[in-house]
Amino acid sequence: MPDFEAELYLRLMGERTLLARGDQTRGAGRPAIAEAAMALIAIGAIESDCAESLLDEYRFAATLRQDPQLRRYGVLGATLRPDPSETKALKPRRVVPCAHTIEQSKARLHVRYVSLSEEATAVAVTWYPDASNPRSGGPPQASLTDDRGTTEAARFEGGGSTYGMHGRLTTARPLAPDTSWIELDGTRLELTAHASSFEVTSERLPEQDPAHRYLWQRLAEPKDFEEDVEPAIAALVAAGAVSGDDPLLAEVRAVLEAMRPVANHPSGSPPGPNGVPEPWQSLLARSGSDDGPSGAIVLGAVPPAFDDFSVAVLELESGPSRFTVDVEVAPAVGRRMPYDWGVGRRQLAWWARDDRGSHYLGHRGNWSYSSDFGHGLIDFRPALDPQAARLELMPTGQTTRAVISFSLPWTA
Amino acid sequence: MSAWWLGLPAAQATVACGDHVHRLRWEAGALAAIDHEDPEAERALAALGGDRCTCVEVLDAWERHHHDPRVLVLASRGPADPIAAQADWIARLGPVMPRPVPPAAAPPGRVTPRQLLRRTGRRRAAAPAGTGHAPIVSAAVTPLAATAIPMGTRAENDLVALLGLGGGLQDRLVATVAAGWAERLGQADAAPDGALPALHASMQGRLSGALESWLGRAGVELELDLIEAGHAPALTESDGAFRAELPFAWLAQVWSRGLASVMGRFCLAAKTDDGRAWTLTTVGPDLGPPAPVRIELPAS
Repeated sequence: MPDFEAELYLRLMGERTLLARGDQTRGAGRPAIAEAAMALIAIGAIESDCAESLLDEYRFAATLRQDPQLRRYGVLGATLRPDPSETKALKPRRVVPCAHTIEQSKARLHVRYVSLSEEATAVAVTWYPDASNPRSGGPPQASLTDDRGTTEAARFEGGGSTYGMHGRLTTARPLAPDTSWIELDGTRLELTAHASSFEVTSERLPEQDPAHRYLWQRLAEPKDFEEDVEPAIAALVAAGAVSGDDPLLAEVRAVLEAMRPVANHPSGSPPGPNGVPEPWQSLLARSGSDDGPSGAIVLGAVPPAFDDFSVAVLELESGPSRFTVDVEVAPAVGRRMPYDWGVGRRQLAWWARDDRGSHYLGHRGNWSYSSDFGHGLIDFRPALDPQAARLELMPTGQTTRAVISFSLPWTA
Repeated sequence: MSAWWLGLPAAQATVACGDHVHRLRWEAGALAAIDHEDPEAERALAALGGDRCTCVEVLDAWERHHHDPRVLVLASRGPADPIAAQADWIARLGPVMPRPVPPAAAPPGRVTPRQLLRRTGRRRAAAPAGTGHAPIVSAAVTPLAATAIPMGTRAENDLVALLGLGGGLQDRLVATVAAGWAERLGQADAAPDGALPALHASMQGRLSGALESWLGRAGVELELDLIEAGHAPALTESDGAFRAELPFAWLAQVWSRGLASVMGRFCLAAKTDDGRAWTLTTVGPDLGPPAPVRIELPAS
C-alpha cells in the first residue's frame, strides 16, 4: 500500500457523506465510513485509535447537521466506552441437567439446568405465563436454597415475549457449588444428573490473506443491524489489499446474495448454493429446512481462552427450524447500539458442523451483559440435520477457534 | 502572522451574559468582548471564585480552538451544508458553556469587574429586538465545576458553543483556523504531518461543495492535489472527473471570503494589498486558461 493514505481515504468518505447529507437514510446500521474503517484496520492500513478518532469527528459533524437536539451524539457517547483491556476468563463450573416443571399460580416455570461455581449460582429457566392471560405478571423472582441451608434471592436475567421468557435466575452470592439439591421457592430440585460428555480442542485457523480473512469473518459475525459490506470491499480495493477482479469478491457477493432474506429477493427466491464456497455451500444447502430434531443437551463446556475471548457453552436446544445454544462470552460484548459508528472489538463468529459435513452459523438471540461477560442465546440455522450423530460447536476468533464436540443423543 | 483577514468584514454576535445581552465582535483577525472593559480582570475574579462570565468563556474557548483542525471538520462546508445550530443544544453538552434564553427585555450594558462581584444570581436575559442571533446565557457554574469537566467533553462543549454562535462568527473561526494552518504549512520546520489528512479532506469537502454549486450539479468527482503556496493553481477535467491543484491557503484566501465563484467563473487564487482591491485568478466553465478578474470595493 505504498501510495494509499487510509486516514485521508476515510476522511474523504466523511466529506462526501456530509456533502450528500448521506447516511441519514441508512437507519441504525453502521455507516459506510465505519465499514471501510473496520476493513482498513483489519489489514493494518490504519490504527484503530486513529480510525475511532476520525469517525468520532465525522459522527459529531453529522449530528450537528441532522439532530439539533444532539441526541444521537449523547446516546452514542455512551457506546464509546473502551473495551476491557483484559478478558476475565470464565471459570469451569458444575452444570447439572434438571428438567423439571414447576406449576405456579399464574405461570409455568420450566427448569432446564443449574450452574454452580465458586463465583455464581444460576438456574436456567423458561417461564410460561398462563396461556389464557399471557400478560399477567412478569418474569419470576425467586429464592434459592442449598443443602447447607443457605438461602439467596435470585433475579431473572433473560428475554423473550409474554408467551415465554428464556433466561436464568441468578443469585448475588453463590450457593455451595457441591450442593446435592437446590430448592426454588420451596420446590426441591435434586442435582443428581450429569451433563453430556464433550471434548474440547483448539483449532488454529489456516493462514489467510488478511483481506480475505476479514471479509469472510465479517460475513459470519453476528450482526445487530442490516449492514453493507460493499464499502469494506471498496476500501480494500483502494488500499491495494484486494484486486478488483479477485474471484474472492464474486464469492463474497454470491454468499451475501444467497444469505439475503427471501423477502428481499426480487424474484421471491434466493439463488441456490451453487458457486458458493464451503462452509457456506453446505449451510445454504439446508436453508429453510424444518426437519430438525427436538431435544436439549446440557453441556457446561468452558474451553481455554482464545483470541482474547473466553466462552462457556451451557446448553443446546434443538427444534424443527433451528437450534439455540445458551452461552456466556467474555469480555462483555453487548449488542451494538443504534447509530453506533464504533469500530471496537470484533465479534466471535459462531460456526458449527456435523458429522455429515453440514455447517451451521449462529447469530445472537436474547442477550444481556454485565461488566465481565455477556450471556444469552446463539441462534443457529439451518435446522440440525436429523441424521447427524455428532456436532462440533466452533466459536471462532480472528486466528483461532475452540471446538466443542459431542454426540447428539436423539440419533443414538 | 500576516494580515490574512484583509477584506473580511467584521462579524458580531450577541450572547446573554449574566443579566445583560452582550456583543462579541470579530474584527481584523481577533475576537473581542466589546461590552467588557477588562476581560483579564474578570478571568482573575472567576479564578478566585467569582461567577464565570459568558463573554469571557467564549473568548477562552475561541483561544483554545482557533488552531484546532476539528473546527474545519465540524463547521459548515458552505451554504448547502447548514449546521442545525439551535440555541438550546449548547446547554445539553455541559455546564460550562452558554445556554439559551427565551425572549424578554434586557438592554445591553457594559459590565465592570466590580459589578460582576456584586451579582448573587442570574436571571434570564434576552436578545435585543432585531438582532436575529441566538441569544445564549451562561449556566451558573463555579470554577470548580468547570475544571471538573473532562478535557474531551470540554473541547466538545467549546466547539458546539463556538459553532452555534451566530452573526458570521462560525465563518470567521473557520477562516482563522484555515489561515493559521496555511501559514504553518508554509513553514519548512512546522511539519504538521499529523493534521494533514484532516486539513486536506476538509478543504476538499469545501472545494467540492463550491464546485458543485458553481457547476449546478451534485456528486462531482474531484481529486485535490495540495500544492505549495506560490505554485500555479489549476483546475482541469478529464472524463468527467475534476482535478484541482491548489494550495491550502485557498481555503482562507478564497473560500472563506466567499470568492469561490465570481461572475460565473471559478476562483483559484485571490490577492489584495489593502482588502479593497482584489485580483482573482479564475477559470471559466470551459476550464480554459486562467484569467484575472479585478474587483474593487468602494472606499469606506
